[in-house]
Amino acid sequence: MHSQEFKNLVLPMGKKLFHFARLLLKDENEAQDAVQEVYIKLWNMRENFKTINNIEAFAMRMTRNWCLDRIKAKKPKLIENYSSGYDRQADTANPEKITVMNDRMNFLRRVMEDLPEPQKTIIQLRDIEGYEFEEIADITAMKVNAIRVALSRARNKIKETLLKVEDYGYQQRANSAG
Amino acid sequence: MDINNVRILLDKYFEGNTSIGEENLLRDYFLHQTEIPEDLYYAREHFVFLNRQSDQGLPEGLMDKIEKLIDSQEEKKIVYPGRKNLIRVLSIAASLLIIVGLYFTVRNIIPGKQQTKIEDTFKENPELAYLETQKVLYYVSQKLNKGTQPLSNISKLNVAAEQLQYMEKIDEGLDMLEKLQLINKTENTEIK
Repeated sequence: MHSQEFKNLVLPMGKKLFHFARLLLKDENEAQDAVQEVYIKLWNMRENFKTINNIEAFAMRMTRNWCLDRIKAKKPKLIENYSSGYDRQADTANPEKITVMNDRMNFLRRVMEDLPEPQKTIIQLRDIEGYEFEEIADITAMKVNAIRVALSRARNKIKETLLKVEDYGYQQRANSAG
Repeated sequence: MDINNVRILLDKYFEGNTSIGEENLLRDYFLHQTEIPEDLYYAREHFVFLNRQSDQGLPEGLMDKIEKLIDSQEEKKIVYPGRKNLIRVLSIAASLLIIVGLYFTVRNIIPGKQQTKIEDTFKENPELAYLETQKVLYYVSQKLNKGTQPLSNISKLNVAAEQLQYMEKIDEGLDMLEKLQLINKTENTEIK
Protein backbone atom coordinates (compact mmCIF):
# COMPACT_ATOMS: atom_id res chain seq x y z
CA MET A 1 0.00 0.00 0.00
CA HIS A 2 1.40 3.36 -1.01
CA SER A 3 1.50 6.27 1.37
CA GLN A 4 -1.07 8.20 -0.65
CA GLU A 5 -3.59 5.37 -0.51
CA PHE A 6 -2.86 4.97 3.20
CA LYS A 7 -3.31 8.67 3.85
CA ASN A 8 -6.62 8.80 2.00
CA LEU A 9 -7.87 5.90 4.06
CA VAL A 10 -6.81 6.92 7.56
CA LEU A 11 -6.09 10.64 7.71
CA PRO A 12 -9.79 11.70 7.64
CA MET A 13 -10.33 10.00 11.02
CA GLY A 14 -7.57 12.02 12.68
CA LYS A 15 -10.04 14.42 14.25
CA LYS A 16 -12.01 11.64 15.93
CA LEU A 17 -8.86 9.93 17.17
CA PHE A 18 -7.52 13.17 18.59
CA HIS A 19 -10.70 14.18 20.44
CA PHE A 20 -11.08 10.69 21.83
CA ALA A 21 -7.48 10.67 23.05
CA ARG A 22 -7.85 14.14 24.54
CA LEU A 23 -10.93 13.11 26.48
CA LEU A 24 -9.18 10.05 27.91
CA LEU A 25 -5.81 11.69 28.64
CA LYS A 26 -7.23 15.12 29.59
CA ASP A 27 -4.18 16.65 27.94
CA GLU A 28 -3.86 18.10 24.49
CA ASN A 29 -0.14 17.45 24.02
CA GLU A 30 -0.37 13.87 25.16
CA ALA A 31 -3.34 13.39 22.91
CA GLN A 32 -1.22 14.56 19.97
CA ASP A 33 1.45 12.03 20.91
CA ALA A 34 -1.19 9.33 21.14
CA VAL A 35 -2.55 10.08 17.69
CA GLN A 36 0.93 10.01 16.17
CA GLU A 37 1.75 6.70 17.83
CA VAL A 38 -1.50 5.23 16.56
CA TYR A 39 -0.72 6.37 13.02
CA ILE A 40 2.73 4.76 13.13
CA LYS A 41 1.16 1.52 14.32
CA LEU A 42 -1.44 1.72 11.57
CA TRP A 43 1.28 2.34 9.00
CA ASN A 44 3.26 -0.69 10.16
CA MET A 45 0.27 -2.97 9.79
CA ARG A 46 -1.17 -1.46 6.61
CA GLU A 47 -0.69 -4.75 4.73
CA ASN A 48 -3.25 -6.38 7.04
CA PHE A 49 -5.96 -3.78 6.43
CA LYS A 50 -7.85 -6.18 4.15
CA THR A 51 -8.53 -8.46 7.11
CA ILE A 52 -10.00 -5.62 9.19
CA ASN A 53 -13.61 -4.87 8.31
CA ASN A 54 -13.88 -1.51 10.06
CA ILE A 55 -10.59 0.38 10.03
CA GLU A 56 -11.98 3.38 11.87
CA ALA A 57 -13.33 1.31 14.76
CA PHE A 58 -10.02 -0.53 14.78
CA ALA A 59 -8.10 2.74 15.01
CA MET A 60 -10.38 3.98 17.78
CA ARG A 61 -9.77 0.78 19.72
CA MET A 62 -6.01 1.19 19.29
CA THR A 63 -6.27 4.78 20.48
CA ARG A 64 -8.25 3.75 23.53
CA ASN A 65 -5.84 0.96 24.45
CA TRP A 66 -2.86 3.24 23.99
CA CYS A 67 -4.41 5.94 26.22
CA LEU A 68 -5.48 3.49 28.92
CA ASP A 69 -1.97 2.00 28.99
CA ARG A 70 -0.52 5.47 29.24
CA ILE A 71 -2.83 6.39 32.12
CA LYS A 72 -1.97 3.17 33.93
CA ALA A 73 1.77 3.78 33.55
CA LYS A 74 1.53 7.39 34.68
CA LYS A 75 1.47 8.63 38.24
CA PRO A 76 -1.61 10.63 39.07
CA LYS A 77 -1.18 14.26 38.11
CA LEU A 78 -1.59 16.89 40.80
CA ILE A 79 -2.21 19.83 38.55
CA GLU A 80 -4.64 19.53 35.69
CA ASN A 81 -3.51 21.59 32.76
CA TYR A 82 -6.58 21.18 30.66
CA SER A 83 -6.64 23.66 27.85
CA SER A 84 -9.80 24.65 26.08
CA GLY A 85 -8.14 27.15 23.82
CA TYR A 86 -9.99 26.39 20.65
CA ASP A 87 -13.61 26.25 21.72
CA ARG A 88 -15.82 27.56 19.01
CA GLN A 89 -17.29 30.95 19.68
CA ALA A 90 -20.83 30.21 18.72
CA ASP A 91 -22.67 33.13 20.19
CA THR A 92 -21.58 36.70 19.58
CA ALA A 93 -24.73 38.47 20.76
CA ASN A 94 -23.60 39.38 24.24
CA PRO A 95 -19.99 39.18 25.50
CA GLU A 96 -20.99 38.59 29.11
CA LYS A 97 -23.42 35.93 28.10
CA ILE A 98 -20.64 34.22 26.13
CA THR A 99 -18.33 34.03 29.12
CA VAL A 100 -21.07 32.61 31.30
CA MET A 101 -22.00 30.16 28.58
CA ASN A 102 -18.37 29.15 28.01
CA ASP A 103 -17.83 28.70 31.72
CA ARG A 104 -20.78 26.36 31.84
CA MET A 105 -19.57 24.48 28.78
CA ASN A 106 -16.08 24.10 30.22
CA PHE A 107 -17.58 22.97 33.48
CA LEU A 108 -19.63 20.34 31.68
CA ARG A 109 -16.54 19.31 29.78
CA ARG A 110 -14.76 18.68 33.06
CA VAL A 111 -17.73 16.71 34.37
CA MET A 112 -17.56 14.58 31.25
CA GLU A 113 -13.81 14.07 31.54
CA ASP A 114 -14.19 13.02 35.15
CA LEU A 115 -16.70 10.29 34.37
CA PRO A 116 -15.38 6.79 35.02
CA GLU A 117 -13.61 5.32 32.00
CA PRO A 118 -16.06 3.15 30.14
CA GLN A 119 -18.74 5.81 30.62
CA LYS A 120 -16.80 8.70 29.16
CA THR A 121 -15.57 6.61 26.26
CA ILE A 122 -19.11 5.56 25.47
CA ILE A 123 -20.69 9.00 25.68
CA GLN A 124 -17.90 10.35 23.46
CA LEU A 125 -18.37 7.62 20.89
CA ARG A 126 -22.16 7.76 20.90
CA ASP A 127 -23.25 11.33 21.58
CA ILE A 128 -20.31 13.16 20.04
CA GLU A 129 -19.05 10.91 17.25
CA GLY A 130 -22.38 9.21 16.52
CA TYR A 131 -21.26 5.58 16.43
CA GLU A 132 -23.75 2.69 16.36
CA PHE A 133 -23.83 0.39 19.39
CA GLU A 134 -22.26 -2.42 17.37
CA GLU A 135 -19.28 -0.22 16.53
CA ILE A 136 -18.91 0.82 20.16
CA ALA A 137 -18.99 -2.85 21.13
CA ASP A 138 -16.21 -3.44 18.59
CA ILE A 139 -14.11 -0.60 20.01
CA THR A 140 -14.62 -1.28 23.72
CA ALA A 141 -15.03 -5.09 23.66
CA MET A 142 -18.22 -4.63 25.73
CA LYS A 143 -21.68 -6.14 25.28
CA VAL A 144 -24.33 -3.86 23.80
CA ASN A 145 -26.47 -4.07 26.95
CA ALA A 146 -23.58 -3.03 29.18
CA ILE A 147 -22.90 -0.16 26.78
CA ARG A 148 -26.54 1.03 27.05
CA VAL A 149 -26.31 0.98 30.84
CA ALA A 150 -23.04 2.91 30.90
CA LEU A 151 -24.37 5.39 28.35
CA SER A 152 -27.51 5.97 30.40
CA ARG A 153 -25.41 6.64 33.50
CA ALA A 154 -23.14 9.07 31.66
CA ARG A 155 -26.06 10.99 30.15
CA ASN A 156 -27.82 11.18 33.50
CA LYS A 157 -24.67 12.44 35.20
CA ILE A 158 -24.56 15.39 32.78
CA LYS A 159 -28.28 15.95 33.22
CA GLU A 160 -27.90 16.03 37.02
CA THR A 161 -25.07 18.51 36.72
CA LEU A 162 -27.17 20.69 34.46
CA LEU A 163 -30.16 20.58 36.79
CA LYS A 164 -27.96 21.44 39.75
CA VAL A 165 -26.34 24.46 38.14
CA GLU A 166 -29.36 25.53 36.14
CA ASP A 167 -30.80 28.01 38.61
CA TYR A 168 -27.44 29.69 39.06
CA GLY A 169 -26.76 29.84 35.33
CA TYR A 170 -30.08 31.24 34.25
CA GLN A 171 -30.02 33.78 37.02
CA GLN A 172 -26.69 35.01 35.68
CA ARG A 173 -28.02 35.19 32.19
CA ALA A 174 -31.13 37.08 33.27
CA ASN A 175 -28.95 39.57 35.14
CA SER A 176 -26.61 40.15 32.26
CA ALA A 177 -29.47 40.48 29.80
CA GLY A 178 -31.34 42.96 31.96
CA MET B 1 -42.07 17.51 16.55
CA ASP B 2 -44.87 17.30 19.13
CA ILE B 3 -43.66 18.26 22.61
CA ASN B 4 -45.13 15.07 24.08
CA ASN B 5 -43.11 13.00 21.61
CA VAL B 6 -40.05 14.98 22.61
CA ARG B 7 -40.61 14.13 26.26
CA ILE B 8 -41.09 10.44 25.47
CA LEU B 9 -37.96 10.36 23.33
CA LEU B 10 -36.03 12.27 25.98
CA ASP B 11 -36.94 9.66 28.60
CA LYS B 12 -35.84 6.92 26.22
CA TYR B 13 -32.65 8.87 25.54
CA PHE B 14 -31.67 9.04 29.19
CA GLU B 15 -32.34 5.32 29.55
CA GLY B 16 -29.90 4.67 26.72
CA ASN B 17 -32.58 3.19 24.46
CA THR B 18 -32.77 5.62 21.54
CA SER B 19 -31.45 4.92 18.06
CA ILE B 20 -29.04 7.25 16.25
CA GLY B 21 -31.99 8.54 14.18
CA GLU B 22 -34.04 9.37 17.28
CA GLU B 23 -31.05 11.06 18.87
CA ASN B 24 -30.62 13.20 15.77
CA LEU B 25 -34.30 14.20 16.00
CA LEU B 26 -33.84 15.29 19.59
CA ARG B 27 -30.66 17.16 18.78
CA ASP B 28 -32.25 19.00 15.88
CA TYR B 29 -35.26 19.88 17.97
CA PHE B 30 -33.29 21.35 20.85
CA LEU B 31 -30.77 23.16 18.66
CA HIS B 32 -33.33 24.84 16.41
CA GLN B 33 -36.58 25.15 18.34
CA THR B 34 -36.94 28.60 19.89
CA GLU B 35 -39.98 27.87 22.06
CA ILE B 36 -38.97 25.29 24.63
CA PRO B 37 -40.76 24.62 27.93
CA GLU B 38 -38.69 25.91 30.85
CA ASP B 39 -38.41 22.51 32.47
CA LEU B 40 -36.56 21.29 29.35
CA TYR B 41 -33.90 24.02 29.32
CA TYR B 42 -31.46 21.54 30.79
CA ALA B 43 -31.98 19.27 27.77
CA ARG B 44 -31.28 22.12 25.38
CA GLU B 45 -28.03 22.85 27.15
CA HIS B 46 -27.23 19.16 27.14
CA PHE B 47 -27.48 18.99 23.35
CA VAL B 48 -25.78 22.35 22.84
CA PHE B 49 -22.90 21.03 24.90
CA LEU B 50 -22.62 17.77 22.93
CA ASN B 51 -22.87 19.66 19.66
CA ARG B 52 -20.03 21.96 20.63
CA GLN B 53 -17.85 19.01 21.58
CA SER B 54 -18.30 17.46 18.17
CA ASP B 55 -17.67 20.78 16.44
CA GLN B 56 -14.17 21.28 17.80
CA GLY B 57 -11.23 21.59 15.47
CA LEU B 58 -7.77 20.11 15.58
CA PRO B 59 -4.63 21.70 17.00
CA GLU B 60 -2.78 23.54 14.25
CA GLY B 61 -0.21 21.50 12.37
CA LEU B 62 -1.12 18.12 13.87
CA MET B 63 -2.26 16.57 10.61
CA ASP B 64 0.73 18.03 8.74
CA LYS B 65 2.99 16.49 11.35
CA ILE B 66 1.28 13.14 10.90
CA GLU B 67 1.59 13.32 7.12
CA LYS B 68 5.30 14.00 7.43
CA LEU B 69 5.56 11.15 9.91
CA ILE B 70 3.99 8.76 7.40
CA ASP B 71 6.30 9.97 4.65
CA SER B 72 9.36 9.44 6.84
CA GLN B 73 8.11 5.95 7.71
CA GLU B 74 7.79 5.13 4.03
CA GLU B 75 11.33 6.25 3.25
CA LYS B 76 12.63 3.89 5.90
CA LYS B 77 11.21 0.87 4.14
CA ILE B 78 12.72 1.14 0.66
CA VAL B 79 14.75 -2.11 1.05
CA TYR B 80 12.91 -4.77 -0.94
CA PRO B 81 12.90 -8.45 0.03
CA GLY B 82 14.95 -9.43 -3.05
CA ARG B 83 17.53 -6.87 -2.20
CA LYS B 84 17.64 -8.13 1.37
CA ASN B 85 18.65 -11.60 0.13
CA LEU B 86 21.23 -10.13 -2.21
CA ILE B 87 22.76 -8.22 0.67
CA ARG B 88 22.87 -11.40 2.74
CA VAL B 89 24.56 -13.42 -0.02
CA LEU B 90 27.04 -10.63 -0.71
CA SER B 91 28.00 -10.32 2.94
CA ILE B 92 28.62 -14.07 3.22
CA ALA B 93 30.73 -14.00 0.04
CA ALA B 94 32.70 -11.03 1.32
CA SER B 95 33.47 -12.70 4.65
CA LEU B 96 34.56 -15.90 2.86
CA LEU B 97 36.87 -13.83 0.69
CA ILE B 98 38.42 -12.24 3.74
CA ILE B 99 39.00 -15.65 5.37
CA VAL B 100 40.60 -17.11 2.22
CA GLY B 101 42.72 -14.01 1.78
CA LEU B 102 43.88 -14.16 5.38
CA TYR B 103 44.78 -17.85 4.97
CA PHE B 104 47.09 -17.19 2.03
CA THR B 105 48.73 -14.11 3.48
CA VAL B 106 49.41 -15.85 6.80
CA ARG B 107 50.82 -18.89 4.99
CA ASN B 108 53.21 -16.69 3.04
CA ILE B 109 54.32 -14.76 6.07
CA ILE B 110 55.34 -17.87 8.08
CA PRO B 111 59.16 -18.05 7.74
CA GLY B 112 60.90 -21.17 6.36
CA LYS B 113 57.97 -22.11 4.24
CA GLN B 114 58.64 -19.22 1.92
CA GLN B 115 58.75 -20.32 -1.70
CA THR B 116 61.90 -19.68 -3.73
CA LYS B 117 61.56 -16.63 -5.79
CA ILE B 118 61.54 -17.13 -9.53
CA GLU B 119 64.00 -14.87 -11.34
CA ASP B 120 64.24 -14.20 -15.01
CA THR B 121 67.87 -14.93 -16.03
CA PHE B 122 67.33 -15.31 -19.77
CA LYS B 123 68.79 -11.95 -20.65
CA GLU B 124 72.05 -12.28 -18.66
CA ASN B 125 72.74 -15.98 -19.12
CA PRO B 126 70.73 -17.83 -21.79
CA GLU B 127 72.53 -21.12 -21.25
CA LEU B 128 71.74 -21.20 -17.58
CA ALA B 129 68.16 -20.42 -18.39
CA TYR B 130 68.11 -23.29 -20.88
CA LEU B 131 69.53 -25.68 -18.28
CA GLU B 132 67.02 -24.54 -15.72
CA THR B 133 64.16 -25.05 -18.18
CA GLN B 134 65.43 -28.49 -19.04
CA LYS B 135 65.58 -29.34 -15.35
CA VAL B 136 62.04 -28.23 -14.84
CA LEU B 137 60.73 -30.13 -17.85
CA TYR B 138 62.58 -33.26 -16.75
CA TYR B 139 61.04 -32.89 -13.30
CA VAL B 140 57.59 -32.60 -14.84
CA SER B 141 58.06 -35.65 -17.07
CA GLN B 142 59.25 -37.66 -14.06
CA LYS B 143 56.11 -36.79 -12.21
CA LEU B 144 53.99 -37.67 -15.22
CA ASN B 145 55.58 -41.12 -15.47
CA LYS B 146 54.94 -41.66 -11.79
CA GLY B 147 51.31 -40.85 -12.46
CA THR B 148 50.90 -43.31 -15.35
CA GLN B 149 52.51 -46.24 -13.50
CA PRO B 150 49.54 -47.03 -11.23
CA LEU B 151 47.33 -47.10 -14.32
CA SER B 152 49.00 -50.38 -15.46
CA ASN B 153 47.04 -52.10 -12.71
CA ILE B 154 43.91 -51.70 -14.82
CA SER B 155 44.93 -54.86 -16.75
CA LYS B 156 44.30 -56.82 -13.52
CA LEU B 157 40.61 -56.16 -14.00
CA ASN B 158 40.64 -58.64 -16.87
CA VAL B 159 42.13 -61.32 -14.64
CA ALA B 160 39.30 -60.87 -12.21
CA ALA B 161 36.72 -61.02 -15.00
CA GLU B 162 38.15 -64.37 -16.20
CA GLN B 163 37.53 -65.85 -12.78
CA LEU B 164 33.84 -65.06 -13.15
CA GLN B 165 33.57 -67.66 -15.93
CA TYR B 166 33.62 -70.33 -13.27
CA MET B 167 30.17 -69.16 -12.21
CA GLU B 168 28.75 -71.30 -15.04
CA LYS B 169 29.81 -74.39 -13.14
CA ILE B 170 27.48 -73.42 -10.33
CA ASP B 171 24.58 -73.78 -12.77
CA GLU B 172 25.67 -77.35 -13.61
CA GLY B 173 25.69 -78.21 -9.90
CA LEU B 174 22.21 -76.79 -9.46
CA ASP B 175 20.91 -78.93 -12.34
CA MET B 176 22.20 -82.01 -10.61
CA LEU B 177 20.44 -81.03 -7.39
CA GLU B 178 17.08 -81.11 -9.16
CA LYS B 179 17.36 -84.90 -9.29
CA LEU B 180 16.99 -84.90 -5.50
CA GLN B 181 13.33 -83.97 -5.93
CA LEU B 182 12.72 -87.39 -7.44
CA ILE B 183 13.82 -88.93 -4.12
CA ASN B 184 11.22 -86.84 -2.30
CA LYS B 185 8.47 -88.02 -4.65
CA THR B 186 9.32 -91.71 -4.23
CA GLU B 187 9.42 -91.26 -0.42
CA ASN B 188 5.91 -89.75 -0.45
CA THR B 189 4.45 -92.61 -2.51
CA GLU B 190 6.04 -95.15 -0.21
CA ILE B 191 4.44 -93.65 2.89
CA LYS B 192 1.08 -93.70 1.25
